[in-house]
Amino acid sequence: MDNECARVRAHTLIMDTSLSLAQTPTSWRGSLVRRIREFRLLARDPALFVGVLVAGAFILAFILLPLVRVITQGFFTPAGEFSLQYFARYFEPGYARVYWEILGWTLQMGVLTALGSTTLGFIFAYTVVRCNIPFKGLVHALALLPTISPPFAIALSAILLFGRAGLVTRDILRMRFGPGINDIYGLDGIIFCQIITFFAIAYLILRGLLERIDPSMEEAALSLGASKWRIFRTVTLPLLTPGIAAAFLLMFVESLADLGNPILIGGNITVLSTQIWIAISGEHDLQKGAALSLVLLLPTLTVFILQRYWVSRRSYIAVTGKPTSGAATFVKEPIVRWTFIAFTTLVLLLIIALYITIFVGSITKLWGINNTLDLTHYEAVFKRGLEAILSTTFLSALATPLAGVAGVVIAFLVVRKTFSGKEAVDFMSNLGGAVPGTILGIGYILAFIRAPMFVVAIIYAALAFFFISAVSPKASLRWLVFGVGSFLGIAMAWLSYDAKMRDSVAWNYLSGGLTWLPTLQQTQWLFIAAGILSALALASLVFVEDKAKRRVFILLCFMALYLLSRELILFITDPLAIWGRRMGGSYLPAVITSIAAWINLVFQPPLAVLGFTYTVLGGFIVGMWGARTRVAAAIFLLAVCCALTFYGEPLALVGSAYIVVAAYTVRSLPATVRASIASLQQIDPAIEEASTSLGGDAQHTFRRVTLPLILPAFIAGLIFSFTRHMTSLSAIIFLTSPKWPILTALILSEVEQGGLSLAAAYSVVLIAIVLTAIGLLYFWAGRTFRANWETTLGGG
Amino acid sequence: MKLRVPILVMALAIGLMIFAACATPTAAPTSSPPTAAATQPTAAPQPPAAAELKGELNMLCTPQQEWCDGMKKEFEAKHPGVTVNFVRLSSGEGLARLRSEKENPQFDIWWGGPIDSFIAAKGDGLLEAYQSPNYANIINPKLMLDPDGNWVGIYVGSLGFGTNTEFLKNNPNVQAPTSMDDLLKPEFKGQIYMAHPATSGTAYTFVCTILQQKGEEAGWEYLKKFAQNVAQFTKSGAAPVQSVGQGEGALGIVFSHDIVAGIEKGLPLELSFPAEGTGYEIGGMGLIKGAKNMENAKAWFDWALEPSTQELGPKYNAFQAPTVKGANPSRPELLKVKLIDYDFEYCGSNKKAFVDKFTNEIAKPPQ
Repeated sequence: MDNECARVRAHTLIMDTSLSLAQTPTSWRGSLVRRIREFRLLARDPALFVGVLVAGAFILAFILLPLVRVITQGFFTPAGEFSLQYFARYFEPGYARVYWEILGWTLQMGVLTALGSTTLGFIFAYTVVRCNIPFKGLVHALALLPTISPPFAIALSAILLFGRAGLVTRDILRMRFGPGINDIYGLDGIIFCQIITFFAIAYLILRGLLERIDPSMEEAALSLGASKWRIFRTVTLPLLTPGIAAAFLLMFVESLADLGNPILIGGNITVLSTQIWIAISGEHDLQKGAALSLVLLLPTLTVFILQRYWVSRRSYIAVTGKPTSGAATFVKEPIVRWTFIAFTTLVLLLIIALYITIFVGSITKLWGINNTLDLTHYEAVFKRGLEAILSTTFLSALATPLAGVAGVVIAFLVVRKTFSGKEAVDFMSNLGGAVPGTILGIGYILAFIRAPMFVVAIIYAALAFFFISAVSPKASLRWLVFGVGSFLGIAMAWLSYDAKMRDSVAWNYLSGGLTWLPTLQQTQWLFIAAGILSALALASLVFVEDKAKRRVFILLCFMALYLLSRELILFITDPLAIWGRRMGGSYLPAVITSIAAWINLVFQPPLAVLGFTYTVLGGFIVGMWGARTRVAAAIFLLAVCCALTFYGEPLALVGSAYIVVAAYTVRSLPATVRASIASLQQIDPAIEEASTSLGGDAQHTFRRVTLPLILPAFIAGLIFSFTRHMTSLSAIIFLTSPKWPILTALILSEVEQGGLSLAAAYSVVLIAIVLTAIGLLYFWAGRTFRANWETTLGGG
Repeated sequence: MKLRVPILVMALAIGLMIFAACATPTAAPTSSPPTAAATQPTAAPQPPAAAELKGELNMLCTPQQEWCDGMKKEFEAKHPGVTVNFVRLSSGEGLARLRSEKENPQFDIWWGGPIDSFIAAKGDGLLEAYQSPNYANIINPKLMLDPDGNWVGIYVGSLGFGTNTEFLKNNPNVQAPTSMDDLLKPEFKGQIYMAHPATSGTAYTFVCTILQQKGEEAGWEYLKKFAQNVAQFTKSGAAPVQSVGQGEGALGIVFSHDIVAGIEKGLPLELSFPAEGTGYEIGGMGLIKGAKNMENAKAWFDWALEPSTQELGPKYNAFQAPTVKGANPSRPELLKVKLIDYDFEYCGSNKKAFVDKFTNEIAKPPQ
């Protein structure tokens, strides 16, 4: 197994060097030719080609585009003029003091949180692995509790316990807060909450490493006569250094990105994340928000790159992916052992106290004033928040398999395949989850408020390239299909544009002859498109070879029906919603209208996404079409796909649920990618090679051989993704829409409006949903999940 | 031969679909709102608008969550064909969202929130002019109605002080403040909770009240000293009720109806007003330009200006005073205090400058 991993690594290294060689300017032209050739080569394996295209399109649209938009927006005023106004504020006398102060607090917070949580994580890991603590499983589970709760849960209970009117501070310690007395609000409070919230991740990383240290090294040192302390200092610690560094850097980034804790418990301390949030949501200044985002992005990116290219290359431990077998070494000195155990227990008690407080707070009438038992908060939660609970759970669940599948596909491409831009795919897929969520959220608003035509056109061109590659070996015919099909498609899309849109579209000159076309209503337009697809379906009965006839026909019919279903489904869901609202009562109407909205969501994906999907499907259909009429059929099919892609305002997603799903998916992508990569690296490629040499194509091998082997990691990735979706706040806070309220954003609003107890009740409900989901998946996946849970988190 | 059956089924299905769609071309609800059909008078006995409404209404709601939610349900009960979706955003946030979504508006109507935000929104061309038949109901059209019909007042509230009674009990020599200058007293140092004017209309009303009462120069001096006593600037205007009620602070500066709502919930608060006069807000409402569900939005707009609608507030713990004739205020005493002659035009047009100044010069942390 070790040899295999080494082989994979060496292979990757060679890849890297060859890539960097290719990028030197002298061989620039040669490399371009080589890449185009490689692209063609890739096209021979359709499944792989589609995988690369779809992964690339997703990363381009939902990671690269938003980030680029944020970075550029910082330099431009709303009117579009270049301006360094907000960067200059760091040097303007009126502003500089406040701006530097905020930056100083931010860095202070990051460093102290990172120090504290790494230390705490190390102590926990050492206690669990080396000190033979009793109830190890329980300790492990409790330590992970903060990772599955909403981002401000700890801050909430910290206020309830240690606030100015807190249970401990006011009622037990009898403290009275006046001027000059330090309260929980402020930098110290933020750091305390962040340490408790984030240390579990450091713990998982370090625990994984500690378990993998080969005991023989320490045994060797012991038999050479070294003292325990000396062994720890000169053997154990150096082996752990890369892990500690990785944990420290990760904690630093998490701390900087955190929004929930600083908002709730920051008092009068502003850090960069809250400054950005106020700039956007308070001062409605996108440029300022974007400029400050860039300031926040710099340390984050630096750390990310450091972590990726420096720390990870300095790992002294052979990553076998499994704990070393054999007897683990335990600390035998009782003083050391019990000190560690005692400290760990104390922290665990604190965590338990914090969570019990949330629960008790949620069932108290008015915390600290009227401590009678009271369930009205839960009534309010289900009365006012039911829609948010339902829609958040649904969207999180919808994004979970997406993140899982995207993660596995990207991991598979990265580990097993060789293609240009592989390193970029790997890097970018991690970047989306690594940057602070606020930045991604702002990027989504900027990128998808209007149609990102440029990106849509690029993706369409790439997919159409796949489409036409199936048409004919003759290049001229291929380009004929591309040209005519796309032109017809754009002409058809023009039917959907209103006057404003027609003015703003960049290819005005190209379609100058189209201005006379009338603007059609969506329903009419869709019937035309579906009509063409149906006509093609009927034609397929005549022109497709018998072998593939049935498949092509059904596929085309399905495409036509699904296109129409976005209109027709309303005949079901509208009466359903109306019936639901007439039901009366507090809960049933919300449930039924939500279900109606979910059904609509499934049947009404953005037309551009449908266009992309149909282009890919069309590629397969054209490949099966009879040679005589293939060109004509391809032209019509491509025209419909192109028209769908450019219909209306393609990918103007702000306000829809899809943008939330996309944000969720991107945020949890690194975890699923890492988990899948880790488990893929443990699988001997020879198994897959055997499948290939026995005649299985890439898609067959992947589905039948690779997927079953990485399933455990896949499921662990799903659990982590769902948790992350449910609890994410910063990336979502700017994206909530009236139709799709998000629970975390609602809790934040309710903290200020309805009081701490109500927010606590919401938090309890959220934690309960996450625990139920984990329980269900755990039940389904059996015992496999526990071992892989750690690789998931540790790697992500 | 085996191929026949599925093909037939498919063909039949497609035929049926096309037939169904052609037979009911106007029924497809996502196509543009049926303008002509909806306004045509029908023979049905009930008023035509109420019977025909269908689809969605996306509302930007600025008052407290509970009220927004209650009104949503009341409206849906009246118009079962309409789903009301709302997001509660503070007025600053709401304005920000409307500005960023100008090209592609997601909301149809903005309900609640101080009218200076509506004046600003009108200035940015975000609102749609509308002549509601119910404008005749408005008590004081000069103050509560935009001359172009871009916005209208839907409630009135006065600014007050909420003091924690436990705090007063523990500090017998401290009294609840009865003037603006009382807020500067050393016993309130680090004890005052107020929202930040950048995000909250409530806090901005306070800032602008001070600037009008004391003049700009003395006003800013006052605010500088005042900020030294503030424990925390919250995001939402009503948030200090919770913080002070829970005992996190001693004194909150909030609209008096929010303090009353807190007292109703059992929070230990005492309400007082500055004797020299206090500022007040008019809560506004406006249609969003380019709204996708304009018919429904107009229905809400008219409905919100009916006396019976404006009396619904107390049912949802909202004690704001109504703006239409025939509606009885739930707490008339809140408006019987001395009110200053609040200049909404002055406050609305200077908002950006004042908030900027406050953010960069005043709201610094103490020390």
